[in-house]
Amino acid sequence: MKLPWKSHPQLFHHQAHLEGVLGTSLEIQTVATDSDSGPKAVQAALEVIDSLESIFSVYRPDSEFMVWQRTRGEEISVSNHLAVVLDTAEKFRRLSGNAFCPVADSLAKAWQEDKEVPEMEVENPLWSVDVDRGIAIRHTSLPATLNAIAKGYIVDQAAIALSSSPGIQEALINIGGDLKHVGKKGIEVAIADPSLDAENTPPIAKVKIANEAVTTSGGYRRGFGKDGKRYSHIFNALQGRPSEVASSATAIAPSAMESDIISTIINVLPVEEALSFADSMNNIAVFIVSHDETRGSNSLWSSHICQ
Amino acid sequence: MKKINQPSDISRRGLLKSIGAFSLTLPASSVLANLLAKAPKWDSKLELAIQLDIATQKEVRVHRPYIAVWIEDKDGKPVRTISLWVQTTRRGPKWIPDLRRWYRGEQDRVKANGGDLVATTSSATREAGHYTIVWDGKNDKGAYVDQGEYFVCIEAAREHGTYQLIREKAKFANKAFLQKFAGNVEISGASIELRKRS
Repeated sequence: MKLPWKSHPQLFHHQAHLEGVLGTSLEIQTVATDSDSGPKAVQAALEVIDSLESIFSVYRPDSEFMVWQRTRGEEISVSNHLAVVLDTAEKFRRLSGNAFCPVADSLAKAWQEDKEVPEMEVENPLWSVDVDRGIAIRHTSLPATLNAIAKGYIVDQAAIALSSSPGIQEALINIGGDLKHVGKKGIEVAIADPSLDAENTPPIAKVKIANEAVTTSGGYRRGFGKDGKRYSHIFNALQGRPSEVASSATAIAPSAMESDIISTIINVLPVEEALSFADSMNNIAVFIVSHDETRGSNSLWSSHICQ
Repeated sequence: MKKINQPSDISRRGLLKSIGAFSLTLPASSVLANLLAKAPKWDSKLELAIQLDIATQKEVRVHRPYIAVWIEDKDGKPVRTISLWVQTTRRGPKWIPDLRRWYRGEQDRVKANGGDLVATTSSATREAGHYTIVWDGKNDKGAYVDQGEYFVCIEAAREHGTYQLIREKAKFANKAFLQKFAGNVEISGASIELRKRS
């Protein structure tokens, strides 16, 4: 029997919603031992987001990534952040056989303009990176984006800023659907139904995560029309055309960088291949809803489901 | 004479009364019949999609205002609270009264149905500031409302900012339509669409 010798310390829940962060919405929640810690942690996270945006943004011509993209074939000194993301991107491109492809937007542009879509050889690296020396050499002539990886990386770094801020016990950061939780208790995450676009419609699944990240990708909110048909904004570099496999693909991973990349990969691969790709890695739970509404998930996903 | 007149007066009054009562029963019953005939229930194949855009500026991040979306009947009585976004911090409840109209309606609603918590939306969307909320045509007790005229209310309040209310009349029958609402400094634009349930 527990005797109330020691009263539990009061905990303070803080929540912030912002619009216009990395072009989308930001949600931060914290549980802290005092009332000032939450707002301070949010401030720390926003500072991290701002500094990383100046590295990765493709909308800013002066971002470190865009400046680096104007070079080719030379050893260029880059920040550790950029080196890690470029290195991880190239590793996953190779591992997924181009299902994850940082130049996919360039291919998509050619496809949309009815031009010939450049063929991608898995063996040809887009770039080479030496993370320890902080050097990256760009080989490809095609403009790249870090869309399906940089946001996840920023989410991870912002989550570190939150959890290492004084007094924080639990934290969640969600940038436009890419989210990461830090803490012991965990959090329930609802997965939006791709066929229902509203905020208050029932989710297709609910999962519980702790110290994990979740990313859902799919063409249901962003896409484009061409010749009277609607297409996903996710481009399948394997087939040289927009992805037509999944309408929604969700990945749970230890980091948001991984969940971000993997949700894109499983959006492009046929469902069976996507599931075995996820199972070939450690700690990756996936849930896929294909366009014909069939659903697929691996066993690790089942262990996350909550009622 | 008086003796004769009196009963006659009384009986005349009695007659007038009974005629009055009779004549009243006719329109009363026909009004009732009309009401029953003219107010079919909400078409369950339809839903109302309410879209709103929170005013954002390029490359500037803004805190989301506190927002309440609800439906009132033609007399201004709250029928259904659809969505409510407030900060759930220690300071939150203090600011809920900022959503003045919602708060007033909530007091009525609490009295009427025992005061269950209303559903809230906390998920983020991919497009900055753009939100869609659907109303299934049911009231707070879960029953379909009658077809007819209602007010769609979207209220926004900021802690150290402004208070804004969009309150627009709309007629819901069994025909799909799209109606745009003028925006304000907090909600740059909003629209409603009666559409097939997705």
